[in-house]
Amino acid sequence: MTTFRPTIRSYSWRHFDPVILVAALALTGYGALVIYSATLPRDATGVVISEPVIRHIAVAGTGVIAMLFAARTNYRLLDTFSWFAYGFGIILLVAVFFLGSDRFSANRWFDLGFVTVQASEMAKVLTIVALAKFMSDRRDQMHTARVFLQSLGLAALPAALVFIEPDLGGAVMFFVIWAVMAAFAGARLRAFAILATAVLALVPFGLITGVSEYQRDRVRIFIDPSRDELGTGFNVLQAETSVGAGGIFGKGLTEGTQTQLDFLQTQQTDFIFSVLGEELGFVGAMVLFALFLLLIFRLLRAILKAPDTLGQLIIAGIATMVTVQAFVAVGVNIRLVPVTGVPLPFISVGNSALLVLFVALGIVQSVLLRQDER
Amino acid sequence: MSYGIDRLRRSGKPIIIKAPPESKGTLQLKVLVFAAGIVVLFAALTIQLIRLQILRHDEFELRAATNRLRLIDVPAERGLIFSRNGSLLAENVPGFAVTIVPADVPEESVRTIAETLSPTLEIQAFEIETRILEGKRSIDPFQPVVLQRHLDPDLVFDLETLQVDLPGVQVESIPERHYPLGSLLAHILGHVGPITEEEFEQLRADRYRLADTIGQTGVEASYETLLRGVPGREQVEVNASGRVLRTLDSEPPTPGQSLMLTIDLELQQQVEGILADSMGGSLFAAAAVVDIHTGEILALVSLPTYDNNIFSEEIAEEDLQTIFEDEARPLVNHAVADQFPPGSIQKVVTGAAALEEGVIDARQRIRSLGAIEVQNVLDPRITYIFRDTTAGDFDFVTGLAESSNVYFWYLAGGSPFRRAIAEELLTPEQQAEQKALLEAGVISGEQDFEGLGIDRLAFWARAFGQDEATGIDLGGEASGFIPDAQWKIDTFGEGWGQGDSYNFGIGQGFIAVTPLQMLMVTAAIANGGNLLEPHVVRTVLDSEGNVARTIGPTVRRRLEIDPANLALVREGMAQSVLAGTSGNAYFAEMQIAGKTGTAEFGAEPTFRDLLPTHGWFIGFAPYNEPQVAVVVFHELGAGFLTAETGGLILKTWAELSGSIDPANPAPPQRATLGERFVDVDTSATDESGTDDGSSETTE
Repeated sequence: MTTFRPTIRSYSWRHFDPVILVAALALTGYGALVIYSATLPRDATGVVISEPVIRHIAVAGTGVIAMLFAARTNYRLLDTFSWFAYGFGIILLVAVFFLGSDRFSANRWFDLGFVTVQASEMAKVLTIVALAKFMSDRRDQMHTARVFLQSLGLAALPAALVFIEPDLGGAVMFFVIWAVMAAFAGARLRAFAILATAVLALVPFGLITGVSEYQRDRVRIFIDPSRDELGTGFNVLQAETSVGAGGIFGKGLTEGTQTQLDFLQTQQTDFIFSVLGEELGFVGAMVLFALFLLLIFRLLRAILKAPDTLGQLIIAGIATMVTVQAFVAVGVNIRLVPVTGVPLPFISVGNSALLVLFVALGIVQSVLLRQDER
Repeated sequence: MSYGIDRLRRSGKPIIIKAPPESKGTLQLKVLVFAAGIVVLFAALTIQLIRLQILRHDEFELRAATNRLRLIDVPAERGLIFSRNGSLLAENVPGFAVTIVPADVPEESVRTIAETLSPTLEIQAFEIETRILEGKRSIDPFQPVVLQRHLDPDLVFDLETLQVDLPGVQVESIPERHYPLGSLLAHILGHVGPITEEEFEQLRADRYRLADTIGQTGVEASYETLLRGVPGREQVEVNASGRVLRTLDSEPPTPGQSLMLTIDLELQQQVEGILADSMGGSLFAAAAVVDIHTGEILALVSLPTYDNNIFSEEIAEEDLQTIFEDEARPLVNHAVADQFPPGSIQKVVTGAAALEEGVIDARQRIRSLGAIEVQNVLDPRITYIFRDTTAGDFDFVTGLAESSNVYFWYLAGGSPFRRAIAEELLTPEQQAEQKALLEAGVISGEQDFEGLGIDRLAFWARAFGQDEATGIDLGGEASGFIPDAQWKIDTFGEGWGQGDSYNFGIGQGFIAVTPLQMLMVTAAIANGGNLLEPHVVRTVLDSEGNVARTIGPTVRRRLEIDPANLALVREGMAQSVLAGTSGNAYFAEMQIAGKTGTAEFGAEPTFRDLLPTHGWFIGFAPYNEPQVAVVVFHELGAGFLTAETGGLILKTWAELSGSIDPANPAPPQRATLGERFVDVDTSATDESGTDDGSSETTE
């Protein structure tokens, strides 16, 4: 089915997947709409386009250009630069401790004045690249315990740094991405089973060590002090209320009382899905899910099209990242997932994260463009 | 194998050839499993959304509505208080308070808010924190809690700027109460004060807010319902910080009704001045004037007084301490809330009762030798000498005018019992003496004059309302105390003795009454037997200033006493002013009537072997056509001195009311009661001029 065409350019824009671009732009536009409502000044009459909305759209525009540029660039360059990328990611995560703005009392942001950069979002993609490189190089050895654990160690280092930021949710995500990538790279099911057993065995040990409920609470606060238990409880309750009150069709954009009267906290970021749920209802949520599924399934299609393992693994990592992030960000709002601060991809305010997503999709396109190179 | 021409190749870098992709089938299987996993995740989200948004929608809809809609009580403007003459006595002035709605404060913001407000309000941060947290746990966490009242106007602006970032914090306009005349009417008007958490649990049913103030004492308390009005309601939409965004529906409050007091401001001021001048060594004193036909209190003074505005301001701890520790208890209305033995003013009650019961005919005379000897009930050898300050032959009018104790001892307890003593206890001389007396009929064990006795004494004292609250429209009234035989057995395990009746008859011993009770007794005697309910509020005005209700005379009961007998009591009182113990009350412009009382109190003699005494005076004017009654009380004093104060007050009333009839002046004062007057046995008279009273000595 693939025919070798000895042309000047071995990649072809013919293979560019416009659906991925359209889905990403649709999600971003949807996000802009929800941000518009979430950031609407409370005394506003009529339409007031706030700065976050404009920035969201502007970043999306930049993102399209970045995507095209990334698509044109051979993703195999990453192969060469993967260790540099990994190192850069680690440096980012370490630097954020010293240089990060104390935003939401977690050292998760770089404030570059005009834009805040979320270090862990960038580190995630950079780690995906490094893992893809490491695993594709050792594809035939992934079943060995040594390589399996080495790859795990590769993911564990940035995860640990994110964990102490502190961001438990972000740390867990590194492991999920690693697991999916390792599976694609040929790791044995048995290896996962053994690992899972070991982790499960450690859980009761942890519970026995931290005997009392009080101590466990302390540990929980130690793990994630930015999330005050009671305050968070209030926020989750309000998020759940917002979504539930939305009903099937929602209250209508800018009509949600929970959103507009500020009962909902951090509604532009962690709890943005509640805004959507309240104002656009179940139907609005289904549209969101449909767009996500469309995008993710196009990524799965791209895995199958990828000309090599490196490409497959990069795409698998990115697909996992988008999926898990979307699931957790929505799940937190409807009490399906414990509270953790995860932005909803393409929807939440967060310029760097959005740009990183577009670049990541650009890398996917880069792989697709080169699908004929076998 | 070629990778084609790309940038890498052109750069001449070596190309690492990766192992070929795994078989298509395995990859497809993995992607399929991955896809299935993704579908499962999104299905889970969808199922949860169906539960929340469709199945439990109504529940969350209600929760969201509860969040944003709030029913707020809007306090009504408190009614004003005017004097009888229309002077403003209690008004509302603008005031600001910092309040916080605990429910609107996110748990994690409590400390920040406390620390932000602490320096501005000068309250410890932990105290603010505690109050917010307590509020959160209270029965109604949506009740605004007042952090500070009486805000300095300069602070209001600062705080309004601050509050924008502080959820739940509000600078609220809460009018404060101001009393332009302060201490002059403090005991009548009382004051308003904040509601405590405990009171709030009861009061919230009446739609009080925790931030409201409520009448605490005086008229402010007893007319709270009228003054307060009816709070309005507002259905408002609030945001998460509790800020009201818009009012959806409102029901305006009904302003409180205003009150017009019975108090004559001019008279009140003069009475306060007269009483203050008369204080001497008294710790405290009280005086009141009542309209005997309506029960309207024209003046009511209790000294020392206090400025009731201190409760509307930020009270300094030391000031409050001073007031509470003051021995004279300035916060207590001594005319209403305090009770004392009445002393000789009780003789008007004893006298009226004796006439009505037919114990004595008004013209019948009793001879006083200046003292009376009473035997101990158990051991006749022990006798008690009841000394009097006057002696002679007394009929009813002169007995009352001269305040003869012996006369009233007879009326109360009859003539003293004289019983024979067993001969073996006596010396031969004594035996002979007793024998002679027995033959002469002096020692008979029988009374030659039967008095009222305790049952009838207590009955009539109660009929005059001496052991019940008068029902005045002021809180905290004392009810007085009337002892009886059963009470004495219950309390002391002893029977009621003749001496007890003697004491009772002249207002000593166990009896205790309030000055206000004595005022109403006097009014009843003066008006012909109507025991009235006194009141300080005359009319209730609606918000337009029209009279909504007039508080009419309320007759508590009609005394079953022949008007002729009451007239005799009045005559005795008139004679008391003209030629008796109340001579100091005399003034020439109008004939008045009065009665003094000098009541022993305490257990320890303070001067020689004499107990300290209270000074009392009751009186009414004019004598021939009574209009007002007066009572004056001095904590440490003597009746004949207190009479002077009472006379001055009645004279002031007469002048102010224009009741002086030049054609009808008072008859000239006489030095004696005519041929009936006998030289006084002065053996028991002390330097301080005690005019009556008894002292017990054992022989």
